[in-house]
Amino acid sequence: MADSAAFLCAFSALEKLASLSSAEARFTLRLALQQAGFEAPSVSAREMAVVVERVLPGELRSKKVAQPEQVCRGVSDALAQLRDDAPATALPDAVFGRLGGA
Amino acid sequence: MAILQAFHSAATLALVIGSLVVGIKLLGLARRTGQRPELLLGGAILCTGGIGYGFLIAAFTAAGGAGATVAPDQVPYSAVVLAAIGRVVHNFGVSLYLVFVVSVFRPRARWAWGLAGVAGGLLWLGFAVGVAQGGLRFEGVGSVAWFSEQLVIWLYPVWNGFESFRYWALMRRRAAFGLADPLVTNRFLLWGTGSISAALAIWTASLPFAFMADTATLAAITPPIRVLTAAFGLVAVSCSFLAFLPPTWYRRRVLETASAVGRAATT
Repeated sequence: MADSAAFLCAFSALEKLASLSSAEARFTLRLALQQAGFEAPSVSAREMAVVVERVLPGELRSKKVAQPEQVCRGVSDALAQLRDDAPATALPDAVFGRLGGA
Repeated sequence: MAILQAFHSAATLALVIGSLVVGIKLLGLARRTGQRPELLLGGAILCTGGIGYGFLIAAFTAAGGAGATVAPDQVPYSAVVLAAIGRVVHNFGVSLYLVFVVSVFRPRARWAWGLAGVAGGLLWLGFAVGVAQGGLRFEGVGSVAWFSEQLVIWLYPVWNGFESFRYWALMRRRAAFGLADPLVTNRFLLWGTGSISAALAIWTASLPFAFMADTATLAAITPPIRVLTAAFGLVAVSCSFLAFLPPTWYRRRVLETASAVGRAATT
């Protein structure tokens, strides 16, 4: 399955800013997403930004990446440039949100 | 024994009426939103638990009810017609469940569409061959056609339950970051529990098929099995109600619990 635009944007910024290999950057981001209950193909820019702010710093510290907070700020800035995807009405949480509606 | 019979009858009635109400509610929602998932799920619940079971119970009653031993060629025509309508509608509902689970949880997974296609094929092929062998007049227990149809009926709620619990686990992790609606998170738990309860009801209802040749054992196990089936069915329909027609008190309770958990986590 293809990864979402938000994931690809964060991945590309992380790879550049943290001097990680492509595989390391992808793996680190996936771990952070997993901890927060998201999946790379469906995560939105807003959700990705929260994961980058609250989970990614810890992941980068555990990988001994220099200045993790600064790296995360850079990734957040890259995500802020990204226009969020249109509301994903077909995602399971959106579907189940509607199903209980009046 | 009369109490058990009354409980079984009341629970069965609750299951049929509850499925009709929830199914119609979701179809009404689909009409307003124009979205496919609510159409699929509403149709699935309506066709299986509501109309399908309704016709199958009517067919069972027309054939003489519990304990009746009618020769296949003596089964009344009305019972055959009711069974035919019931099974077609029920299996159509099962097919809708299969499309629902894939289109909502695995829309881009080819293996999932393939699995749903194989399951649908087994279901309808088993039904068609079973009917050709006289399956509307008697249960062709043990035949390949019977197993083919039953296998899908035994397993489709398990797939729904598995996907729902998997997503519930994701939503719980999101909730810790304030990125999940507590009511929606709870809805996945309810749908998972309801689906597994429906599976348990179907499995227990199928147990007597294993003792068709042993009438003494069959007579002994039938009462507890009917109670178990009814209890699982009640849990399933209650979960559907709380998930898709949640009363105000239940919404409030879920929100209060989530808020208390959030406060405990921050202190």
